[in-house]
Amino acid sequence: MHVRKIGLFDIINTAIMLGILIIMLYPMLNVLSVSFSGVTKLGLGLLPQSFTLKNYQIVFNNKALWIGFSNTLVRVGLGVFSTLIITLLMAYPLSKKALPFKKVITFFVVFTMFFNGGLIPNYIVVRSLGLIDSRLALILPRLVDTFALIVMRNFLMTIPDSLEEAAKIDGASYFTILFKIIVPISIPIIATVVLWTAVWHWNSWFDAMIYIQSQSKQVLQLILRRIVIEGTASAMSLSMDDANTVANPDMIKATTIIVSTLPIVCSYPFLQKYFVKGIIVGSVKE
Amino acid sequence: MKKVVSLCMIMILVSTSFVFGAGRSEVAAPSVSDGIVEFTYSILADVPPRADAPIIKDLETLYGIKLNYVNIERSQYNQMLGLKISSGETPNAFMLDGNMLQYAQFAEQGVLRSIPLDMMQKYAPTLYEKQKPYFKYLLIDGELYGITKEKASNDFPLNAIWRKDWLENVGIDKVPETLAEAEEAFYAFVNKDPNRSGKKDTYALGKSGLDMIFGAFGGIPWGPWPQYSLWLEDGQGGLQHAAVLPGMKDALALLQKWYKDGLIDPEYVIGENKGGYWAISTDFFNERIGFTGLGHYYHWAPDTLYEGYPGGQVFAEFKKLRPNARIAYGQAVTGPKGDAGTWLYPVGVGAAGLTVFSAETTDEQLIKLLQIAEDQITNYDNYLLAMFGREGEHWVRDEKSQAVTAVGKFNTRTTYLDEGIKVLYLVEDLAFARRDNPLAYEFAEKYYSFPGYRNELLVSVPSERLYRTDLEKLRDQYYTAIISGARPVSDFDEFVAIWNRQGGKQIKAEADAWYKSLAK
Amino acid sequence: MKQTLLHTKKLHYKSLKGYEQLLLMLVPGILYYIIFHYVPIYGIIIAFKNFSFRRGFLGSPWVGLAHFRLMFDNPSFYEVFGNTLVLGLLKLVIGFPIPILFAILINEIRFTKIKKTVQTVSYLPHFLSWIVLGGMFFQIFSIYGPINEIIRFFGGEPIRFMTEPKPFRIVLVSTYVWKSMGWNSIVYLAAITGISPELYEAAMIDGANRFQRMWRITLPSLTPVITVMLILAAGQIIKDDFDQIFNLYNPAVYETADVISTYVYRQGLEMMNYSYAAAVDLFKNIIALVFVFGTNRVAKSMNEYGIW
Repeated sequence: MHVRKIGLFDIINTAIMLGILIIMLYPMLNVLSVSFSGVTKLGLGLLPQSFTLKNYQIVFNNKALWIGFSNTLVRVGLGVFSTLIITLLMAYPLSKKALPFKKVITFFVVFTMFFNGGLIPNYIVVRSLGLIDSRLALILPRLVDTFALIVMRNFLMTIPDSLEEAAKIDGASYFTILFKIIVPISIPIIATVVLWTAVWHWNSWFDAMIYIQSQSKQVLQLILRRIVIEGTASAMSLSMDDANTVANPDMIKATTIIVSTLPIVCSYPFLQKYFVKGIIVGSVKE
Repeated sequence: MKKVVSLCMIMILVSTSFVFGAGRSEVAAPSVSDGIVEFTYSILADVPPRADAPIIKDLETLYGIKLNYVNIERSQYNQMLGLKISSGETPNAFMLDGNMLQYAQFAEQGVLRSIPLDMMQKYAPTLYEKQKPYFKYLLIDGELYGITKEKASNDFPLNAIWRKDWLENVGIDKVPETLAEAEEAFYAFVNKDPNRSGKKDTYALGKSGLDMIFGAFGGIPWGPWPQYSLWLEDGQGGLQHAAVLPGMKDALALLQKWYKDGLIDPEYVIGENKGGYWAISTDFFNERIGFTGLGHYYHWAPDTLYEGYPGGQVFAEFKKLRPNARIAYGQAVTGPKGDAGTWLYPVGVGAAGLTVFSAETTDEQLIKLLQIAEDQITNYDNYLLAMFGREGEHWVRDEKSQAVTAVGKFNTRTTYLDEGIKVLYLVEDLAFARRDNPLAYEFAEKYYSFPGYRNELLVSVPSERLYRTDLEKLRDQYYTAIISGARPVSDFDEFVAIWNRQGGKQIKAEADAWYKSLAK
Repeated sequence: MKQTLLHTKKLHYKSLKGYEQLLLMLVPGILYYIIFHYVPIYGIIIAFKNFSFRRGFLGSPWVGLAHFRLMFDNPSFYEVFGNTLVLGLLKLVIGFPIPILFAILINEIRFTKIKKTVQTVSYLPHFLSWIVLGGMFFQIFSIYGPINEIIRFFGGEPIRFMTEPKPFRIVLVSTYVWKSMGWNSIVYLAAITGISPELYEAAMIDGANRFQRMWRITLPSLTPVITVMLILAAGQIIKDDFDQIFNLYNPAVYETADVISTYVYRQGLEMMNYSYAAAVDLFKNIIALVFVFGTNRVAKSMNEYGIW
């Protein structure tokens, strides 16, 4: 282990980072305090206005919430797994310089980032495949994210050919090379794509809105949106009960943000270890 | 290699044929069987009623129908509705949110079927009489394509709320009724330290207050929401957009002076609400201003209405935040020429929902639906069933407030919609709605009987589509520049000239033609 | 040389078989693209038609370039188009390097706890929607807000960030950076973890200091990632600007902040111009594609990591 002195650079760097920590964390803390507030919170302070747990009660008492939660977990699991496999299967060949049709296929793929038929044709395709109200409708349409594909491809391009040659001489197929050699080295980018995919699926609600009809298959984000919208309807009645229980939507919105962000924040540390230095690429013969 | 390519070609062919071959799915259910009329239905709701929702079942038994609910997510309503229609899944009966252009487009493009007037007269005579005043907006080439709901809350103008304690602190006893009185109060709000802080840290009014001042000069060029504009009678048999009325020039001159003197919050353009429930005036709550016009009468209903009542939604929040503050209900102040008014929404067409029927709807289905609508405005008990559920189980009439009050969890929207309540109602009528909450109307009638400006152009005219966005941008730029002093008041004439040139004149011509045709 | 040639030929022979394997790997993905992207692409024709609900996509009448002509004839369009470009460029020039810098600096932090915490916290803004952030930023940038307090403290004149066109750009760019910095840095951090520590050790033995190591090892190792992210960002920034601007802007700043997507949205509020909106969208995407082509060209002249 190297023991370097703590230099001026370190001090400044750490100070900057702490500053960043504060400005990044602050708004979230503000939202947190609003979620614990019983009255409209004005200003940018961090103390809840009239502390209450009512908002969380309202959100967690909603039975649909738990159904949504489990549906989203399933979706994230299936989505991450399938996307990872297909993306790897595409990124790897495309990272090979000598692949025939490489330019054509790459263009073919990137073109779709800029031109798409719009909501209605996409809906009709999904419907024609009989996927309406099926979980697959939430996974198949986004099986590959072109952005992630290209980034992964570029990562794979940096892996020296020498690593594969030994295996090729031994007669290994490309499939074997991909999964036994390339993947273990590519853990950081795989972790990144896993994160991107997981978060995308976690946050999605629009596709669920148009493709899912059964309330039992509904996803978390959509349920949360509904909980918030509920509060925005004007309560015309002057009845006492209404005024007490129709919670201010601002607080409910804050609560749903916390509820939907917390699981990600809590699971991120598990992924973080893949971003830690120490994965040795191996000796490189130039 | 070749195999792969041919495989791909086959896949393309197969998928494409799937898509085009599949075509539109027909709304296949037979419309009548065993005398039961079946139809698909949708309203602007956040969640659909669950399968076997009890109230839906009650209503099905009551009316001899089978209701198949189609869920169209409310938060993206127009987009989702467009999707459903384009993919051939238009419900037999559904709601439009009051957008007259959308109504006209759907009718012209054959998405909707017409409602024969004689059919309506025969099967729903009361409905016919009640809808008649709206025909002038709803008839397209002599055909009727929809029925309008009425929003009871639109029968009263928007707020004029003053900080009573501020008025008292600056020595004003009477809540201002004229523009001159308001001006005196506003100057005092800025210069005489109404919040007793020892500093000059207050303004008098924000954006919603400006609306009232404009109203004192004959019209309201801005208004509460961008999608609503105000066209008023121009005194020559036609209509004119409020932004180019001559009185506005004088209003702008006054506002420019006020802005310079610090009466108007310099950041008024952003609006008074800075996040959270839309009817809350953050600036008013923050004591940055002393007057607000944001929201409807029921938002600010006082807690003195009956024992135990915490007040309207905004009132209650305000009270919790500032327990020592007091407010007063003002009125639209009268200007030099006797004009006065805050914004007033149309009760029916233009700001309330429309029920329309798809082109595939059969006569049997339509007749049944018209009969249901008729029943809902003539039979108060059936109305209560559809709107609130079963008495005792879902609602009771509260002794203190005389209001129909939901029981327990049924006051949350998602719960009552899930139960089937407030789902099947094709028409909303003022007469019954008032009976749901008598105290509310008493309060409103007492404090909100001052004038309001109502939009008269309740149809869409073709040129609006082309020019409106740009005209509104022009208005925003000129108005904000004149008020802040960046432009002189005389530039108003330039503004009117450009407005007319860039489409304003065309729109007015079409509006005039339509309005004059009504007089016949 | 000869030996390598022979060697290459041998490999080549083996690889011919391998090519089929690689192409086979691509099949499921290509199928996916065909079914879910290329089959629905016919929807684009709606930009050249007058969409009628009844007649659908295939039956609606053709109008050719009418919508585009309408777009270009509209004087407002040029201002709006200009804003889209200016804001896009500002965000790219300022907002692109910052996550990279952040990743490099955070990598240098020695205390793992701080490193991990800052990293986790840094992407929290990504999860806050602009609807929520709008209200917050109104208060932060208000003439009475904290930013102006600081300016006043240092003796300056308060700046009307939210109600004046030019200062408003500062709001847009800075909030954009704030929101995306942490999230965008993840991919760079991933790349940095792949750098062999031996390289650093060798450099240190050679006497390289901190900055030299960052400049000569870390940064160059990031080139493949930076290249591809830059090219893709060039397109994305133009395509996805709606949410932020819509939730922060107001009529006083339309002059610099009204962009294509917000302008068309307002048209859509009342106008229901489905085909027109599709035409404008198509136009916007073409511009984004042009940017991507351009950036790709530049990148290809510098290294081999362009998109194609």
